[in-house]
Amino acid sequence: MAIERLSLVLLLFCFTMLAAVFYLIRKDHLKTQHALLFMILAIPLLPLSVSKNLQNSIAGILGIYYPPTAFFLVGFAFVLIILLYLLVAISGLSTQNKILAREVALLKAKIVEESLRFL
Amino acid sequence: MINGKYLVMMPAFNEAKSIAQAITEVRTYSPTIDIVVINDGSTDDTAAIAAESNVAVVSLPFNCSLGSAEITGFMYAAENKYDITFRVDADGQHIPGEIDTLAKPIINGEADMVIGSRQNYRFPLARKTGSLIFSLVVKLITGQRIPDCTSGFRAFNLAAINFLKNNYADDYAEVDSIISLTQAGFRVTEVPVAMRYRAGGNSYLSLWRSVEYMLKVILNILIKSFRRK
Repeated sequence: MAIERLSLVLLLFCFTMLAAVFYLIRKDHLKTQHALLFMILAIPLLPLSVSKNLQNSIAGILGIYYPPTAFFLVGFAFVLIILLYLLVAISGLSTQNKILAREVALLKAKIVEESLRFL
Repeated sequence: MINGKYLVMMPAFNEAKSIAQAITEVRTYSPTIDIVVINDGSTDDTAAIAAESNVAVVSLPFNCSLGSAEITGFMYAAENKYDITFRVDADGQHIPGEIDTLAKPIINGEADMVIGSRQNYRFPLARKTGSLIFSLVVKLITGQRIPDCTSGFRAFNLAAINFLKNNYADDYAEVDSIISLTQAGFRVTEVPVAMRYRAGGNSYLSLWRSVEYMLKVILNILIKSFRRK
């Protein structure tokens, strides 16, 4: 019974997360490009949250004593993948941000220089 | 110094106390040399004081990093095609009278980048150890002995500037730039110069940042040495 209740909670959680992702894309708060990885990783968690057989087989392969733990292990691995993906995205943004800052600074200096020339 | 187009670039972050004096010293050394101050998002009056001294000021909209400020200076130098660019600190440590010493190997066609090695300087033990380690790493990778790899008092010819504006680490780039220039076929050399202690402001390198500097530089070099192969 405890496992069933847990499965229900996990299932609800997965659906809520997916619904939130759809909502955020629709409202333009989240880019499809970033959401795609989230969905690719979250969708396999749905069958894992309800299917005891799937939990048992993954737990058997990985040598996990308590089968529902398989769900959390897989979920944790997915979270790490998403974190890494976000760090890559942040690094790219930071680099682009600094390139823009340098270009803006040089352009501003050029405008000042040109305006002084005409004075 | 022989005729040519020369630039002194000064990256500055909160150097209001020392920047005017540093600019005056360069002007005293050579009234005709161009000076550009790269203000790295200072929160004090660095930019205003520099502008009052009638030098070009390029102000980054926020504090980007020393490497980023230097890249901005390289971009400025490349765009205006300076024959030699000197990188001089805004805190008064670098003595403009030594610019001739730095320029000599470039003018003689012996080097593309010249590093002013600190001769009369007493480093804290931690920095001295770090400097020795960097020197060893550079020797292992490039085969060249540069005892003062972290010195920022440098001179570059236009070819080196054009390379570095696209190939300079965003942060802690002093050691990395020696390796990347050498591996790209540029000639790097070192000349002994006299240097002073800071006149004011805060160094980029606090104790924690010194440790961070060591770790980041070594990690950068290790990763890049794999990438270069």
